[in-house]
Amino acid sequence: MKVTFNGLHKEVAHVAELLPGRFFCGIGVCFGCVAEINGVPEVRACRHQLRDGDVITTQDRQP
Amino acid sequence: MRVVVVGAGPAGMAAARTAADAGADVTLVDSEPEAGGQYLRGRARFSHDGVTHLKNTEAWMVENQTLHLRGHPPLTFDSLVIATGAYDRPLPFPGWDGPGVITAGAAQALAKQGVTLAERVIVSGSGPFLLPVATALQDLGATIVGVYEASSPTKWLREARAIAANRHKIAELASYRRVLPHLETRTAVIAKHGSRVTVAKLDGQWRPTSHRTEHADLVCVGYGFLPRTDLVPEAARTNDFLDVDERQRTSVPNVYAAGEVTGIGGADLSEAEGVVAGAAAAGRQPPPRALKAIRNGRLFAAALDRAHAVQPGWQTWLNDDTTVCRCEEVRRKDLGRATTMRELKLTSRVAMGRCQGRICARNAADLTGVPFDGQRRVIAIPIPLGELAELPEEQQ
Repeated sequence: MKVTFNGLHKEVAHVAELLPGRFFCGIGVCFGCVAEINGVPEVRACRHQLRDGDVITTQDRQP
Repeated sequence: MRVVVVGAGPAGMAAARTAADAGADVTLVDSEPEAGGQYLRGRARFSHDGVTHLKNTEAWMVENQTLHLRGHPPLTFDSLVIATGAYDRPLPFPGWDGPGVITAGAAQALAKQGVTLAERVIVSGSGPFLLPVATALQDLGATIVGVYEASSPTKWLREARAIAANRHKIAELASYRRVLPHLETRTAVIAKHGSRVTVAKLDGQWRPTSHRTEHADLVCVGYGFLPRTDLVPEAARTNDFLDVDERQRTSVPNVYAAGEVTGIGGADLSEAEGVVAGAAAAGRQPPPRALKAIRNGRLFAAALDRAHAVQPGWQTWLNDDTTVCRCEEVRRKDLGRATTMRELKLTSRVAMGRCQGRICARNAADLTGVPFDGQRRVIAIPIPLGELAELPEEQQ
């Protein structure tokens, strides 16, 4: 999938690849992977089905 | 009779089907896009007469006979079945909050989507779930550096009564034989720095007796499971799993529970509990076959629980600077000398972040000796204030 992550163009198979150290429980429990996705704040990225053109921004601290 | 079931895994699907077959008007609420839960993730094709399946819908509070949902009007019910499952319990160690460490459940969920994240992989934890996770990763081409089991699982093979009643479970273990050569017992990952992973041999209390270095890009951890019981914070529980009677009734009137929220015993036990809960929730007698399956399944579950119980020696894996709470970045030395969970949270901010203690509260309680009072939250999932403000006024 071709996506924009924190302003950079990336090509990844899964959102987990964008969030090392943040993607952790993988099932929506730990909230480690929370990000703004396509303008929607506070989305648990692990619960988002990634699509071409998605814009993902992590909102607070960088890992 | 209106029956609402929360969670569409093996327990919730069975409860919904059984209640509908008994004539109830059933709504099955699930947060995922497809039924199946973590076990059958996306592979269950659920459709049943008399069941309305609300997908992508999160439940956040039970109030009297009403279940509140995100993005959907509240549902009133005569009976509610909680079948929300469980998630991995990680244990902290130096480096567990860095890149390249995820839960075993996360690895399994990724594998079911065809993704591995890394070439060289370690699975470390306690319990039989480690084996299917390692098998799934190997099937996708990952190199399994090791499968480390902190306990000594030969313990439960001696529990003859539990084994005799559950021969199919032993057959299931055989399907993981390709990863068994990588299995080391009384062993755990106790630190990770970059791709350098410290692997220790453990004594019976899980204190390291020796250690070595392995190289791996991904460590998947899971030391048993914690139940998702947020919707019924006041329900009676043992070791945080919901207490149920022989009809799967919780201590809360009209609320039933089925599957891994009541204890960890695998998909077949969950399904049997779902059948009993669904029948009881619809006002029917539970089928004797399901009751028998539950008795047998619980023998096995109890044997596994005894053999794989977390031992206190894990607390020696941490140093003063090891993160305990990932959300609020609380280190071990920040935990202080609280005497209650509430005091511990307010003084250290442990369990006060986004996950609301789901990942860290149990570990923080163990590390400080504070009594763990179960996970009790008023609201099951964090909800933006704006969304709460938009809720319609209550009808008077």
